[in-house]
Amino acid sequence: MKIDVRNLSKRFGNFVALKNVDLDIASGELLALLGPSGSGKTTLLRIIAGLDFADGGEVYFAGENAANLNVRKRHVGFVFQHYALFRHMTVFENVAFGLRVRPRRERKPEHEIVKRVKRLLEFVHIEGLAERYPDQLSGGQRQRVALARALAIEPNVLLLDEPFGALDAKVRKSLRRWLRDLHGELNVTSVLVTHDQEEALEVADRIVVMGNGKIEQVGTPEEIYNEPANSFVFDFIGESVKLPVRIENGGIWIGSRRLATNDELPGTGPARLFVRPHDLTFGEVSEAPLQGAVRAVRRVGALSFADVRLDYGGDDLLVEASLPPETLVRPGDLVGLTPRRYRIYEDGAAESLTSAAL
Amino acid sequence: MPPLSKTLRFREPSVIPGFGLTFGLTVTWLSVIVLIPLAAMILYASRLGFDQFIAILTAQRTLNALKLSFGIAFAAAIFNVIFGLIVAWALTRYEFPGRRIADAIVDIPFALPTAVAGIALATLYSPQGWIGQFLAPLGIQVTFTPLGILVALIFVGIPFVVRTVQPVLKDLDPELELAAASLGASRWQVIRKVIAPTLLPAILTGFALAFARAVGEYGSVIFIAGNLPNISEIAPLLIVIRLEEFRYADATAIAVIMLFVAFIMLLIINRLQRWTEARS
Amino acid sequence: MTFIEATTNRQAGFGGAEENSGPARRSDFAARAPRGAKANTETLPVRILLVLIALGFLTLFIVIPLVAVFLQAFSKGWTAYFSALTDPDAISAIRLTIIVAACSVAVNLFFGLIAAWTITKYRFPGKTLLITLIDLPFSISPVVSGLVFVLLFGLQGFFGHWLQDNDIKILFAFPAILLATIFVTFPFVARELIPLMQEQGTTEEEAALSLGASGLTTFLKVTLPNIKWGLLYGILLCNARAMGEFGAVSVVSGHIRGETNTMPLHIEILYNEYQLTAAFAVASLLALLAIVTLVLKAALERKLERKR
Repeated sequence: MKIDVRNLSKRFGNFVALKNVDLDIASGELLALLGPSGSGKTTLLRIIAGLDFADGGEVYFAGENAANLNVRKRHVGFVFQHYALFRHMTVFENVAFGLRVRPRRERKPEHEIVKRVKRLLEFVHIEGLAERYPDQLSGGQRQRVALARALAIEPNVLLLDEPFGALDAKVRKSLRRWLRDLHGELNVTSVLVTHDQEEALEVADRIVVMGNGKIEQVGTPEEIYNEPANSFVFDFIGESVKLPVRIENGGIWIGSRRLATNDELPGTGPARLFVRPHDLTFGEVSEAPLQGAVRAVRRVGALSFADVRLDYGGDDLLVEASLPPETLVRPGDLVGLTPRRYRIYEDGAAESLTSAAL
Repeated sequence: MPPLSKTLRFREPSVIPGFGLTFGLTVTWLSVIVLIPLAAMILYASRLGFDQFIAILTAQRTLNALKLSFGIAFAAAIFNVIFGLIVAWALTRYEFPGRRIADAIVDIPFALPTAVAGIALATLYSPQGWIGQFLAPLGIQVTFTPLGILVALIFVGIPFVVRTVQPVLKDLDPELELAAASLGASRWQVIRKVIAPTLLPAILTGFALAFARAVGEYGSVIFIAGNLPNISEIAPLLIVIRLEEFRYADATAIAVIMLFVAFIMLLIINRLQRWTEARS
Repeated sequence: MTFIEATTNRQAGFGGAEENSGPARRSDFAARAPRGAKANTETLPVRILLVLIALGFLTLFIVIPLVAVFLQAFSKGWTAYFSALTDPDAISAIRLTIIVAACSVAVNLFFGLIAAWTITKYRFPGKTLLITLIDLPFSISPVVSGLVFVLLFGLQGFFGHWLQDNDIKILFAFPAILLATIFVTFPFVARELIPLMQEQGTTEEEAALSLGASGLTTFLKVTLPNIKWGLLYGILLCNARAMGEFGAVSVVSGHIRGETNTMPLHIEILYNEYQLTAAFAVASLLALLAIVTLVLKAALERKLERKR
């Protein structure tokens, strides 16, 4: 089902959780709401579900205003952050709950409910745990029960609030892949809330980056990573190095050296240069716009990183740069660094002034 | 939704149905059972007029009863703080035979009806009683004296200090004490500088609870107190006596003062409890 | 001698030997603090002294009075005991006490549930005030709790004349006894439920609603099963207080033998008539109730703790 969010606003006391949010969710897609805590992503999810109420704005389910549909009637499958399994019911009873509480007219006969629950438990690979209680399950198993319970009511849309937040790293990884496959099979419109960019980048068809109650960028994982719309997204997604720079005479100045650029830049004033650590290339000290001493070299798996202390007009700035495999540096070496791909943001402005080769 | 209703909204909207019904029933029932009767009493007292009100409260017998009630309740609460601390400390810190039973017994004063406690204490401490017979030769008379009231009020107040201090003592991180000891603090210094400040809010809460309960206590006191006017007559008993004499005005005036003190104590206790929670 | 054992145990020092390799049963007078902390405790004589003071205090003020109740009750043998309990006035007092307790528990159960639900499941201003007002009867002298109903329904009270004209008897009769008992036991159920329900939050209810359950179904199938032990706990304490209430009931009952006397009032009358054995016989029933209440309470607490 297609869901449209129009001009949603929500405050909690003095805290602005959502500020005029617009969003179109396409039928069948898996969308991730990504942002730091307090960015409004969970509030948005709960308003879509009908669990919270907006101060202003509307949500449309397949073009129909959902204002008059309460949570019971919206047919959303909501997977709660801590699963909210009914602790006094077995796994089977949990999954069957949504089928058994239907009004008598719509309720399926018991044997069909049993059949359907069994199928669902098989589907999420926990058929052997039907008679267990939630507190006898591992985190990953609870997650599967929560999903099966939400799917039991054949929801119009599946909403997942930090579905892997409470799991350890290994289980997270395997469940992520599993969720991706599951979505491929079911093709139900799904919205997932997460603060974990890796999770969003890996699982989602599209990502909505949120910050301070606003949508900062909507795009495919590639777009979000490679073409961050603003400094917030650049900073939030992936590793980034921020360098204070100056715009003067149409060029970018790092200290007293000018960065080679193709186009002339308008204006004059302080700005920030954002660059990914792997986009810093090592070069000759005399030519590179950045110079510094290597403080430490670290090897993480196949990759190596060097901590370089930049001599920055009196200010020291520690930068972590990835080392190309053939480059050999030792602590104490003086090196030069050149940002290969970067973005420049004027101080205080979110929009990028220019970008090089991004 | 029009903006006006938004600003006038009473509560956060909730997805859980039934707010109007349950809130309405709660407030209605609370009003019928508690608030309206109490308001009626205050209304009754306000019709007395200020002069009469003061005259009743400053009558010698009333003053003595109030002084006795508050004074002995205070003494009993102090007593309960000292021994309650020792009991709580022993129960949480040491293993000894009968610890579980001792822990369970602490709640008896909560559960035992006050009249039962009253006749038991009065019988025990009478000059012929099990305990009184040893005290009488020493010239200590418990029954029919303020000392008897003290005994009864200590009894009803026992659980309060123990039960407020115990959880805090249990949650106290032993590493904190170890750390202090490893820094060279003596055991006594650890107790004074590490443990005591952490326990203080709980101790004060327990004291306030025990005091509040003791001030209003009736059943366990009247049997042992003998109820001699001006000597061993507590304020709640004076209310009952005035009622039996159909002097409703007198009874009400004393009751309003006691209600006022109860309310103040409740506010203090709420504050203290929030402080205790903030500390732990 | 166990004390020596305790000393050696104490010197075992850090390292949590107690949990891992030590004897299953802890030694007497050993420190109870977990892992390592036992190295940091008082000297043995101080520990023994403190334990003895604590036990002495509890024995003097609680055990002896409790034991006295039963010994006094049986001091003239079983026949005297049973004849005191089968006296028509005693039976009528027992019956009245049970009826009053049952009614007030039922009423407070219903409203305690509703109050706890409204306080824990919604956000609204003035919640703290509401909780304070619900708690109010706890801190009011029982005598004052009785007095308020005298002022409402007594002959000199607000509705006194109207009630007399219409020949309705509330004061010195069953209704006032019930009202006073409901008043003093008002907070018990709500007070047990509020912290429990606060801790459980609202997500299970939200999950049930999102799965299509109605409000009532959600309450019956999700909320109620989660709080049943806490509810039982509240009922237990409410019942104990309702059966034992003395001050408030004493003020409103009128002490009519065989009619408006509850068990505690009957005890008072017997005591004042120097029928000590009979007074203690009836008292022993209430003392037994207190003990049973505490045993059940301990069992429930263990159950609640395991749930967490």
